[in-house]
Amino acid sequence: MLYYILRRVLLVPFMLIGISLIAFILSHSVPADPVNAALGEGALAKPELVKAYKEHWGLDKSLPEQYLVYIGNLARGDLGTSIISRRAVGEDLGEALPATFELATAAILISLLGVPLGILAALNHRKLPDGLIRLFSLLGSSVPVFWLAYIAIFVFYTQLSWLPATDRLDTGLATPNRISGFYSLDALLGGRWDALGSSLRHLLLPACVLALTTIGTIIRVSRTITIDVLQQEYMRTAHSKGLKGGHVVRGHALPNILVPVVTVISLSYGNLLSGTVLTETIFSWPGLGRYAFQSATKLDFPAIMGVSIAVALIYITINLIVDSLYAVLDPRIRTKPN
Amino acid sequence: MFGFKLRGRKYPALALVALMMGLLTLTACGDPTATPASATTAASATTAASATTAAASVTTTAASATTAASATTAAATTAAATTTVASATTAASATATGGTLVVGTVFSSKGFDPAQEYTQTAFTVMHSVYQTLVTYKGSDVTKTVPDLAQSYTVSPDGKSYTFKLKPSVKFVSGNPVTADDVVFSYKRLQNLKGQPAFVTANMAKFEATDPTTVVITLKDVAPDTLALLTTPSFGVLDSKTAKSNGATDADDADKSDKALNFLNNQSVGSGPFVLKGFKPETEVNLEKNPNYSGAVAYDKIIIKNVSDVNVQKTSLEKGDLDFALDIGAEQANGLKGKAGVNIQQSTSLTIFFLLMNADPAISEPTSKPEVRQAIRYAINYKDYLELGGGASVQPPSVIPIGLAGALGQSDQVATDLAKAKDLLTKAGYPNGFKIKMSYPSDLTQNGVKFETMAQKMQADLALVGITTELDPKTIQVWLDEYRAGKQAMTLSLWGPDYNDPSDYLTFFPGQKLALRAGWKAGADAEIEDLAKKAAVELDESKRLGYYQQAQKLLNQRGPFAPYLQPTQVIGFRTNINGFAFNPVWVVSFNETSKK
Amino acid sequence: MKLEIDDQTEKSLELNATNSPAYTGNLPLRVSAWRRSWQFLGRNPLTLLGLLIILAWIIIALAAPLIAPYSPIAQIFKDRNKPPDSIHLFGTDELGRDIFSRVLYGAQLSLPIGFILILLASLIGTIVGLVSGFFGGWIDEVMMRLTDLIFAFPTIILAMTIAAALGRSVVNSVVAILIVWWPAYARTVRSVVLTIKTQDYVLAARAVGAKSGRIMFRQIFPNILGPVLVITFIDIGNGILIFSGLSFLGLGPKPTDAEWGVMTAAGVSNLDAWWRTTFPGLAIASVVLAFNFIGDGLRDLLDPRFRQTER
Repeated sequence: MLYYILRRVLLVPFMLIGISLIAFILSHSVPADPVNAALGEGALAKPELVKAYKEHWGLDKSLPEQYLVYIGNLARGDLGTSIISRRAVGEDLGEALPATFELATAAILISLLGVPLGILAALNHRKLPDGLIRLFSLLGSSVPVFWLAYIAIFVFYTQLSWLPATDRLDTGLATPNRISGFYSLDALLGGRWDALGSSLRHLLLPACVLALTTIGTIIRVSRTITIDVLQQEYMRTAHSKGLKGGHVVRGHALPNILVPVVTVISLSYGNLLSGTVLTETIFSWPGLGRYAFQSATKLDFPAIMGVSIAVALIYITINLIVDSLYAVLDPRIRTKPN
Repeated sequence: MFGFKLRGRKYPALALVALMMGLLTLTACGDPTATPASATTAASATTAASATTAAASVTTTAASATTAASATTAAATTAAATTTVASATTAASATATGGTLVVGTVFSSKGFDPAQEYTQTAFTVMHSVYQTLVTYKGSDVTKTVPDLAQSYTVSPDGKSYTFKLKPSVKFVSGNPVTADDVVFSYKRLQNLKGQPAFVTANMAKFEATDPTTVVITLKDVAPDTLALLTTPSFGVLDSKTAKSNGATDADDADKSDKALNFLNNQSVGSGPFVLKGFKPETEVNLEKNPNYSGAVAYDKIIIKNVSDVNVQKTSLEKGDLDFALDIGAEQANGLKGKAGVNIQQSTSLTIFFLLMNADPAISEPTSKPEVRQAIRYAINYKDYLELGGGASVQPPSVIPIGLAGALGQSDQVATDLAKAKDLLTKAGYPNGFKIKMSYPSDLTQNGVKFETMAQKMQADLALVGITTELDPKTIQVWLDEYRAGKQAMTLSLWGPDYNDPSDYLTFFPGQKLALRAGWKAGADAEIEDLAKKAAVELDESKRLGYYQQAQKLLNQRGPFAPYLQPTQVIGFRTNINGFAFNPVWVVSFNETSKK
Repeated sequence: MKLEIDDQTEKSLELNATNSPAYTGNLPLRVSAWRRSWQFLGRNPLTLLGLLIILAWIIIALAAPLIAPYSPIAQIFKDRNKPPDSIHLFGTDELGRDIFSRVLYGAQLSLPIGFILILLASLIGTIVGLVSGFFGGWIDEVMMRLTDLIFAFPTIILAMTIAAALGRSVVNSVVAILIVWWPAYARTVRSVVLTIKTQDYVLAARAVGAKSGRIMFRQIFPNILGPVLVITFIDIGNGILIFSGLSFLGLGPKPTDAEWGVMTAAGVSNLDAWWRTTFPGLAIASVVLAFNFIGDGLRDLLDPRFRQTER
């Protein structure tokens, strides 16, 4: 196992080079010049301005040269400067990543409700609660998220005015001092109760929309595995020994469903972390997904590369964690040589 | 597959993880249950000014509402919750007036350095934080008024403008505004070679002859110079503060200027407001400039990035925003008759046009003037007015109504399908033809989607037998093809860079835009001659006459079919006074006030 | 960047589970499972409902020209943005097209696309997984690192650049989705192949000196066909979902095409005209839900864990 993880870690730099190369080739295969987005009609009419711009951003160099320069900078931890925002891509990502992390974490916390729901369904296998919970889980994974997001805004913001629909904080509220980049956590740590309430409310609607799309899978997995466990022979034995249902679940089923459930939760978390384009765009959530969408629209090469690398790192990390979890949670793996 | 048997007793590690998950689940349960309670504050905290007091007063209202409800029926818990929210909103809007203005818009800018940014949001902000020599008042862009300049004189040859500055105007730092600051700002604008640098292209020299006198020398005579100088790019910076933060006006400023980051987050101008902070994805904060020479209407202005126009509309309706700058005609219709909301629709200066390539190598049919004329007759202009909504008009030609030099309404092309078919037959296409029509698929301008107009145009042309294949491209790719003049037909738009008809010379043969339509120099001698005369004529009425004559010919022979001059919808709360839409910076906040 | 289609997670759960050394399942599914499915339908009303909904949509797709009251592209401009009434059941859109007719015609696009998309993805995935799992060694290594790369790459950037580079069309959108979708199949198939490879009958065939190709097609392929077909079928709904997501972002069909994602995207510019968003969205949800109903039943039926309990 250790060897397995080690090998994966050693592969990371190669993965990143591969990812950045793909991103580079793909974004440069678009038959368009980023200068168009960066400069307006007036400036484009003046060749000297276009030339100055291209020189400044290194766009006048040949493509392989541009890529090598990029990789060289990357090795030093420099992700380059966005040609649209003119800020360091690292800085942009530094703001987008915590926003996405906060949203994804909130969504996952909410969708953890799926675990008790799944177990509840399993305990009532083929009875009414089971049917209802299954229906709910299937509905959640069937509804297009872009549609759901607008419905949620329409109902909870436009009609009921219960929750805000955009941004991370109420207008004019000062951002809590940055510790983690999670506004809610920072507000809590800094004792900013106004910001805490505000950030949680802003978080709720997009997080619930995202949670609904992930909760289905979590319910399904917890349910299936609980049923499976409940039907195992030793469980039948436990039952026949006269143990109560709740005790059986707590004592026997729960430990068994942990591995797969933790896996599915981590992987869902990984997906949410790599940015949720549609949700973030609709809710004006300044996260990774929206940043990716914008940089792809504007052909902001350094930003595209930066996003790709960030997403790849998240993916790799989450998968490593999942694999390590196996090792921790599943006793048999540790004993295996591979 | 996971049904391995658990040996022995409970696993301590597993129990721990289970416990953690249980706790997490509880947290998750906690969130949604907290909703109704926190919802009360949600409505309240519109402004930061008195967030705590607002919250307090809301709580009181909420409490009384609940009591009232519970007095009637014990069961009506949900009803009580709804009432609470409603009253909370009222309470919030009552406390919202604290000298803070909240504006919602779609951010188009990444910064506010006058020498770097040439975008709508930047113009709105720059106009509030920097002053220019001359400016416009309200929505009138036909006449400039003094701003930093007290007076000006033009040399007899028209090539040299001398401005006398107002005395005792101060920057936010307290430094006086001097001629040196003006020269520094203009030279920096020119030498930084940024996006807005082209506005100085015709300017040869900037000199400060004494502390209050600035002389601008032109390369060529240009009657549009004053109009150009109102552009927020000509905002005057406090050269001392700017220099100490890395700014330079040196010849190599494009490489040596280091003030970008500084100027994106704060301003060093003399305008009524001062830039206090910028979060590129979410908001811009402006505060009152204590050293401003006149009265300042607000203590604070918060400009928010609200990228969804529906949300902009709803936020305005709820009073969460004082201004909504990007709502379109469709949203405006939905806001009609809503309490507390004013909708002002003004005709924008943007024209939407159909480009028909005159180059036979690119597009055989549209290279024939008769075909282009037929298409102009085939367009159902009235329907586009409805798509544009409100104050939309049909542009009489390329120069929009509202700008000097525009033709009158009587010169508009009228839809006439019979004539169109006739002309097509004459041109040798009695059964029409097939053609590709490009458009920028992700572009929405003035609330009208190009995607919608493209589909409408396709339907219009189908009526005279022209089969159009839609060719949607993302704006990036579209721009590339457009600028290369590769498109047979395309929907496009033109908004003035500055408010002078000379900005429309580009539509005449051999010029930038005409070349995109394959209309090369020498394609139409008569029009070209008129354009040449118009460019240098100093007599205003003669100059405008040339423009009008040229446009009349353009309407018959040119490769453009201007079909819509859309409305500009600005929504604002009824307690805002003095708003006037300005086509350059949209709104001048200090001209408005809030009750 | 997975466009909020959570399916990847689920599939990767399966593959992670099967990939991990902990995997001890006996995945080869037998045809007997199919026989049992008929009895199964009776016990699973949701699955039956799902099948009926899909059937209904297939009929609608085929008969759209007969049932639709209007042409999906005809613009009646004066009747634009009309709310639902007896003339226009689902109202009209911003150009005066009948939304009911467009929703019906939408099935002609979404159903086959979802089907073809997933079929191709599973075909590519199966071939790669089969070869990779069977031969192992460097082929396996290269293939698996390639899938890693694709999994780790942000889908949205891939889709947008492909759409921008090749132009906006249904085919290009399908290509973009294919590129990100096949690796999940490849990994699933590979892990199944790895298990089967060590089964007695394969070892026996090898011992008798059967050629690699023969073993692959005679012994292994039939055994993975069942589960792959099932996953493929279940996945059609997800294919429709991700396709409509890309359409919503303006990366797929042209606006004149009656496609549900495109219609929803056009509708959200004006939420006051709620019918423009609601009905196409419901159409997507109903189809995907139906496939999920079916999938849920099939999963229960074919899941090795459940078969185990029925021994």
